[in-house]
Amino acid sequence: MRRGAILVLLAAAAPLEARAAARARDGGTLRLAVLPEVRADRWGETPEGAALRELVAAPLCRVEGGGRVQPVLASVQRTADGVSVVPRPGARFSSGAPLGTAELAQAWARAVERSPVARAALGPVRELAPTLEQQSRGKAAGLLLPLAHPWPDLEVSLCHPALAPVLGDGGSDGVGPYAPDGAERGRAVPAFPEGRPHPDGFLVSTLARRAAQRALETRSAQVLLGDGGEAAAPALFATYLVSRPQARPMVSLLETRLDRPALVRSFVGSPAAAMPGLLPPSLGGPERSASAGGSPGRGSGTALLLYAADRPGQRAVAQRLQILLRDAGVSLRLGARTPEALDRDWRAGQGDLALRSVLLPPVPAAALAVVLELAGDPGAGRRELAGLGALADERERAARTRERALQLAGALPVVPLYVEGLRARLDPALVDVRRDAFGLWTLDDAWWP
Amino acid sequence: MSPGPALVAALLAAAPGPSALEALSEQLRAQVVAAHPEPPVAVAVEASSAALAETTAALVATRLGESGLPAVVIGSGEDAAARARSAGARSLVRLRLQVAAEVLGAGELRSVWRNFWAGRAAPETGPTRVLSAAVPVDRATQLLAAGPGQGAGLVLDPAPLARLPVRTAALATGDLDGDGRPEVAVLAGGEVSVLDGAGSLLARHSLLDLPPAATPAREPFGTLCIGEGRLVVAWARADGSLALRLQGGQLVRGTGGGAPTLGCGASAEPASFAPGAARLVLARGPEREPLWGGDARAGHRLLLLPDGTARWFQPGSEVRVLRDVGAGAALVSWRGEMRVAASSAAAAPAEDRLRLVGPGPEEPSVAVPGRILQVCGGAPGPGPALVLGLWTADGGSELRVVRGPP
Amino acid sequence: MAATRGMRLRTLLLLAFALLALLPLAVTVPLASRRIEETFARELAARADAAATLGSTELDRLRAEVEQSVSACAADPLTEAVALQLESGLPPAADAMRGVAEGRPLTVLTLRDASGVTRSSAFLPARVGDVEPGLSTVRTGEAPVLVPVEVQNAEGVQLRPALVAARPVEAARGTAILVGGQVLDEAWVSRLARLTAARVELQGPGLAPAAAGTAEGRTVRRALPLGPAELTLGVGSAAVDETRATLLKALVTAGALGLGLALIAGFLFARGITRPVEALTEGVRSVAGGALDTRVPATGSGEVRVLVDAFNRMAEDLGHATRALRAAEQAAAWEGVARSLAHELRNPLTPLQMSLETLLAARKARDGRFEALFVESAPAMLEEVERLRRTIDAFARFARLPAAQLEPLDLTAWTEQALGLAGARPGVALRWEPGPPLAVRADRDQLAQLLHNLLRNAEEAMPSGGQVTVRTRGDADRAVLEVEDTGPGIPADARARVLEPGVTTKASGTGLGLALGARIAQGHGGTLEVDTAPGGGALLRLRIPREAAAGVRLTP
Repeated sequence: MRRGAILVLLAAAAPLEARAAARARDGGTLRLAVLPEVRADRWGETPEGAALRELVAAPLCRVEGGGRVQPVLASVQRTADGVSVVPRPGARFSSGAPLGTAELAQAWARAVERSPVARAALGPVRELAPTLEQQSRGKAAGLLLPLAHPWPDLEVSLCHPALAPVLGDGGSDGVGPYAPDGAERGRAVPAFPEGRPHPDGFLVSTLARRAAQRALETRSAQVLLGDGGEAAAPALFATYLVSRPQARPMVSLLETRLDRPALVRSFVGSPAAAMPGLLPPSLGGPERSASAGGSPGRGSGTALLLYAADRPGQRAVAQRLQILLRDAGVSLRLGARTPEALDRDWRAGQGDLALRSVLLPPVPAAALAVVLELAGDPGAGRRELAGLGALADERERAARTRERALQLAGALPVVPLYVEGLRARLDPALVDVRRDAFGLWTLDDAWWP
Repeated sequence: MSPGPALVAALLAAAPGPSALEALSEQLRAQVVAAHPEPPVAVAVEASSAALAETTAALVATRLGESGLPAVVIGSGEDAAARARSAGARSLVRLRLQVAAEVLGAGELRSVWRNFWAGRAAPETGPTRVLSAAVPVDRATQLLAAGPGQGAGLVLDPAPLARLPVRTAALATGDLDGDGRPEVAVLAGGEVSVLDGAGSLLARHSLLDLPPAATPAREPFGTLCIGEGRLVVAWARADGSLALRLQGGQLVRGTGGGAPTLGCGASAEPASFAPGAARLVLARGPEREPLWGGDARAGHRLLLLPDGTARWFQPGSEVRVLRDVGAGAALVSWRGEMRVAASSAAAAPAEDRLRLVGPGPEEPSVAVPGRILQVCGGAPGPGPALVLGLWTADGGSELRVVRGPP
Repeated sequence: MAATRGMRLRTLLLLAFALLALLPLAVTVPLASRRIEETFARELAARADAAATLGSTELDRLRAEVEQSVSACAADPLTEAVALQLESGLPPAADAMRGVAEGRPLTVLTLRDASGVTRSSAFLPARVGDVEPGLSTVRTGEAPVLVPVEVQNAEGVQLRPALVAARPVEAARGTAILVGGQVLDEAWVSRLARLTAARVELQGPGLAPAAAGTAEGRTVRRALPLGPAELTLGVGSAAVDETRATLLKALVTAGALGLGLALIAGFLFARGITRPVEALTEGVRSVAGGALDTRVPATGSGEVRVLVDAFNRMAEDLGHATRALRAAEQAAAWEGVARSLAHELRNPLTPLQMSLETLLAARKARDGRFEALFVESAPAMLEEVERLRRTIDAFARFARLPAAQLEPLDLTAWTEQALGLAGARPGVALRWEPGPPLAVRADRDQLAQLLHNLLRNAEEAMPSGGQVTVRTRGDADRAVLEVEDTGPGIPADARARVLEPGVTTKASGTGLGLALGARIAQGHGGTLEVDTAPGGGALLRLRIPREAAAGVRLTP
């Protein structure tokens, strides 16, 4: 006890001495404690998983808080009929392969298979699959993406972590400031285009919640992913209930019984908020639902709800929905899936209902594109987006998007439930950790005196 | 295990002549220890000057540590409780100091710990103990309370000249378009931007297509020099440098370029970027250690060393070693005299202080909201003025102007 | 017929013994079985009562455990902290009570507020924010009661009965109430079933029924009162039935063993009685078959012994009488033969004598016709001598006829073969009408002699030709061989004697052919009959016994 006290005191007293470090200090190991559910998020689909994954698989670009797109691995240039994505020279995968247009096209072709966000982000591209297929063999300087309709928010969408280039199906061969060194470690990449990160490497420990909290308290970890968070930060990890046509009566039953604030309070936990509209409040969606009206009805029958097993919030909400439907006379079975299997099985026609959680892009129109992708009607989605993309003015576009989102709310087979922010805590001694527009911490620049 | 508070107080009382702050800290320690707070304890002190607050906080924390209560020092403010929790503390000592005829310390001790079950919006419980102590003031305390730079005559423009969403890597002022008025050039986010005196963007040029450096620096770092109508840019993430000209509202590539330099113009000394770090290494001369940066101007040389000191070489005089100098420091001509405009060496401060070190003992200073990484003289506008490149907590940066009294 | 009667006697005796052995069994088994039945019914009822007592004890233990655990949980610092948080108006985590339930024997643990709304639940956090109908009815301070609670899994939500108790959390001054208990789920029912070795069924209105354990056979049930639900313990009779069946089986086995022993004893006894009778029967049969020297061994005692002795004496007498009779018959036969022989020999002797006297007279008279007379008479005299010789040969053959060497053969096939060898005199047509295969036992040589004699007889009866028909047929127990000719037939008055030696209706012949035939038929246990054919010719019919055994391989 005495020794610990003195150590802490020395640390506290240090600023008084000549511990000069106006510039970042290099060296050391960044220690992260993550909860098992964060570890399980292999493809970085949750905010916490994305923040962790970006250490070894950086996105193409970053959307800064103000909405500015800052190139990281590639710059995006507008061309006559679309955009050209030009990889930064010097960007290399951890396996050593340079990031070229072919690799990018291959990575995106796989991302599109896996992630609704990736499908939505690249949705405005004309004949996406053939385009990627054709360019995955080429050696062009830039990946040319012809657009089917004007889409000013493409640049922002392309910064989504779901489109971070990754080679192969393992998910670990990305282009990041760190290269994976085993399952728990990463070492700094000196030639990363944005510069070698300040620590020499990182170390991830998968811990239970209490142990992770203790690790942060005792400073044996500097970053905790999966617990804590700031209510004020942008919350874009949105969860929707999607349904098949035959399950519409059940969805109606649910909607009369659903109390989103209570759902968030009791089963999701902060940082999270009820999301009564298709767009989350942080993107200008409504914060309060219009009064549902009508007394809770009753129905009958059975249905299967798919949800992601690795996400405790989804499990709790799925169980709550099961209870609510039971009260309404409907027997709901719960089908737990891995996130990849959830996307695959839902698209293959399994299940009547599904909980889908997606990290929305930080601009309304791009976020609505993701919602339309979840709704699963590509034709209608494309018509909707073409109308929005035609509005060149950003504010006008955002306003129109919000308006359309309100109008579409009842018509789409997508029921918004809640939106979550990044669950993470930091050692206050960490310097230069910022949030990007997705609400994610970018740990690339982190260092400590 | 830990000695009783009475014993510690007796031992301290027996010590010869404690300062007022030490005496005050001892009184507060005894009160805190008597309340049996749950360790670790965070200490936040608010005072008329940062130095007084820091010193008192460190003293209280040290005393608590000696009593078996591990303590950490955190900054004061409304969110002290949240920061205490983030720092892993379970209790918070929050004090406000007032220095008059006596030094009065008053505040509270409260628990900030929440059990895991308490959810994420646990109630703030009231203080478990009110703390208050008073000792007669002494000279040292008065000095600390006065704080530096009071009435020193440096004024920060209330509005920033420009706000950038990314961090500045280098800053330069000079007349680039030949209109006789200085422009401000800033290297940030992989591009060079040129602003006019009002902060409006005149032109920008991307550096992302430059061949990448083999070992790019993580921190935004580079050098900019304006001279002879050229803007010479060296960026620590690119290989080589380039010269740009402002023509027809556009920055176009000119001839020349070369290596980064320490200082600009005739006095410039060739240098190179240290591999993978935001450091400059001089190509010539005996000083071969990596530098945070420096300046060379009219026979003066300023080398900024990573230990928080600076060496000021003045013509005809011996080298002067300046302490507590951060990365943002430059030689500036101030009312005809060469001075060093220096930031502090504090590690990533939320609020920095720019001071003007000259030959005399007085060091006018001004607090600035951010971390000063670049300083350069010759700012647009009336009177002697400096442009500062400030890194703000949100990950962006601001260009601020500090002026002397007209 | 006698053998059948002997068998019947033995069977009767056996049946009598079996009946004697069965009678006591028939009386004792139902009585014993009824007693066993009653005993086991009492045992079954006792078992059911014991199971009910065990079940009741288990429920009491469970109630005590629930009461104790819930009280302990209500005083747990963690519960108090959650309750205080609730009191201060802040929602605790939906599953905050999970930490309290850890390590405790509870499967229901819910913290509800004063209005009955669930605020945190260890096992059904999805109910937070609702008033749970089941749990909200539980009043604080009561002993544990049974209420339906919801149990959630991936397949759905089911109502299960649970024993729960409610306790106020003192630290929160009654604003928070802790409800906890145990779900009486399948696992609990299984445990109770194992504990009581009974089939346990738990049912109630709206509850998912739970059952475990088995009760086979007749089931005795005991119901335990358990609030709105009903806990039934059923003890099956299968184990008891098995024991009972074993006992009955032992009883029946003992009976069967007794019966078997009685039958063996009866058999031995019956055999002791019937064996002398059978021997006697056999003796009678042998005597009837001609074995007059047959004697029955003098076994047995009493009446049977007397009977045997009487039989033996009778057989001895019969033997003497038969031998006397046969001697008389032989003497008579030899008389007939001698008479025939004398007749046959006298017939040629007279012409011989007359011829020789004529010749002697002519020689003495030196008659010149002597020479011519001699030449005329000598051949006739030689013929008469030849005739004498033949007669003597025939008699010799008749006398030498040996005992028949019987062997099995098919009469029809044999006849067909024999006819093929025989052939017929010119002018006589031989017609063969085969019957079915006829198994007989016969001496081939003698049979061939017989057939030859019959055919010769027929041919000789038709000097100017005709037709001989040979046919075989069978009746119930005899095989028949008939030889029919188209000659003049045998006069009715001659028929009786024609089979005697020396009797003939023909101009030439010794008169021994048919007599020999009759003897051969006799040697085969058969007869030779003389009859008139429908066309008036003679019909000679041989009847010999058929071999009854089907499947005997017959040779021609």
